[in-house]
Amino acid sequence: MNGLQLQEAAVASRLAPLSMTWQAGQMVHVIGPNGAGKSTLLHSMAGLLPLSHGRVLWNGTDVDGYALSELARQRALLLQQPPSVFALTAADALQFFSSHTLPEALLDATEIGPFLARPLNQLSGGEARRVHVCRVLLSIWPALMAGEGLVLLDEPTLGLDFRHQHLLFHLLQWLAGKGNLVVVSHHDLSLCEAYADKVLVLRDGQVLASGEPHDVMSAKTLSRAFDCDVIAHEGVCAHRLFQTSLEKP
Amino acid sequence: MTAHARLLFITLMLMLASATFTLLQGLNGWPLSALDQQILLELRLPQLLTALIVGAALSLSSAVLQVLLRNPLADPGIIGITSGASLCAALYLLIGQGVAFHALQYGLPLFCFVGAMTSTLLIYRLARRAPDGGNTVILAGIAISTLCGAIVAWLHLFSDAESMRNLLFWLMGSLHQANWPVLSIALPVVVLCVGYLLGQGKPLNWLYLGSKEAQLAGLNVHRFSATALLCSAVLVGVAVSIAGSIAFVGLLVPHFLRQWLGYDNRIILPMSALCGALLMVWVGWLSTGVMTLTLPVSMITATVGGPLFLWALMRQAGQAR
Repeated sequence: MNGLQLQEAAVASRLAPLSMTWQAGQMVHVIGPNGAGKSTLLHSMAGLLPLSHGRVLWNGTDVDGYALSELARQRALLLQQPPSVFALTAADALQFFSSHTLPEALLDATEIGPFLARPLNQLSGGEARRVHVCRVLLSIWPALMAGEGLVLLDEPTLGLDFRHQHLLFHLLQWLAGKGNLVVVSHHDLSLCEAYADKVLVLRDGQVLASGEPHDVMSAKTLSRAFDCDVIAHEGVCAHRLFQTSLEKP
Repeated sequence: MTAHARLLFITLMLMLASATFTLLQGLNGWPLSALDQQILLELRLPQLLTALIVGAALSLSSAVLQVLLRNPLADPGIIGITSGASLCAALYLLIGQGVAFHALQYGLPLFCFVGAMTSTLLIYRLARRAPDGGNTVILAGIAISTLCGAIVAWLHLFSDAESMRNLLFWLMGSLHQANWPVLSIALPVVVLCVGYLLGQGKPLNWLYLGSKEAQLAGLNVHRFSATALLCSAVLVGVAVSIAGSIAFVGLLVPHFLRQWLGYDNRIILPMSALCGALLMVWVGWLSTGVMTLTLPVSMITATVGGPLFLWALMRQAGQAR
């Protein structure tokens, strides 16, 4: 099959055995509180973190069975990384990880043109994040254009203003429409509601709920996941609006 | 020809011109007399080759170590490789020379090489066990340097004046120690390691953003780091073995090149090797060709390099503000 299969995939003391199938061409949102296991899940799907049990299959083949260079041509993972101690420019970071010229679609979605010549460690958190999103997508651009890519983004919206959040998710939606599988973790329920094809809710390394956004994102499930009051307002606009507070219902 | 290729070509030509000048300066024209031939073959050519090997080895290995250890200030001196070599040199010069290795002309280089490799192995094992490899290596280097310094200080207490003078001279670096038998071993080893490292610009570029990013880009990080670290240690070991402890060359050359040319290791690595070699040719000429007495090499490199490095740091701090 084309897509990603998790078969009893587990990481000792961080992620309980998890079985899931996501078809190519979907955008999957992974949500959950801090320490829920979102990053662990994305790292293990990328082949960066060894599983203690089970396996991850990408297009029917075990991720561990791919040569590192072969996997690097198809799969991109955005890490939550600290800034580099070297004063690399944004253009350096792009050029070192890909020989392709920056496509219009990526430039328009990330709007990094004005600061390409500036050192990464002198950019704001959001600007640096946009550069790294651009870099990881550019690194597998030919696979993405062929609709054969696996895009894993760990909290790509960290530090992004809402205009750039929407620009990014429009781009990811377009990439999913081309046949790529996009899996993205974040904490924004509205983005989840607006852009997700599938949602996975994690808590304490276990799956709390998974499926279509409308089924999974109930106030009750979200309140339980985040240990916080969540109220879903319907009929205000095209999507539900989520109000969160510390008060228990 | 691209701008980078042109720059490499110009630097190579400059290095060859400088090398030819230092070789032939002061000789009495062609055909060479028997005395000039002897000076050329027995003194100047070994000194020139030593300068080229030491400059290229120290600068290139530092350029690689700075990325591997994710520390722009890393050099063989800071991470303790030179200290290990110095300790073994001290052991040989102060204790071993008269006891077991008196007849062995490779004694000092061999001891230095063993010292450099042992300290590298120790640092590497510590770094592999620690979660934050780069900082651990620096801290381990400081610890090893301190310990080696303490042992050398204790050795001073039990040595005679002649041995102490030898050690002091060695610790200040010299391009006149190497002879043809030692160079005939050092040269192929250096060519092999330099050749390998010059081809690693692309994976080293990935490592700027950390080992996870490099692994995601398709690199077997453990295998690559071990091989690159080993090659760097061998280069440092060879350099220290044939010329003693030479300060600042490894730290300064790649640091300034990155400030001037940017961070692409595909140009920084070959330029480091060439500029390091060129710098040591000039330092070698300064140490013997300007004054009537021979100056210790480290004295020149530290006198010029120290202020330059401070200026670079202040300039960098000013830009960051």
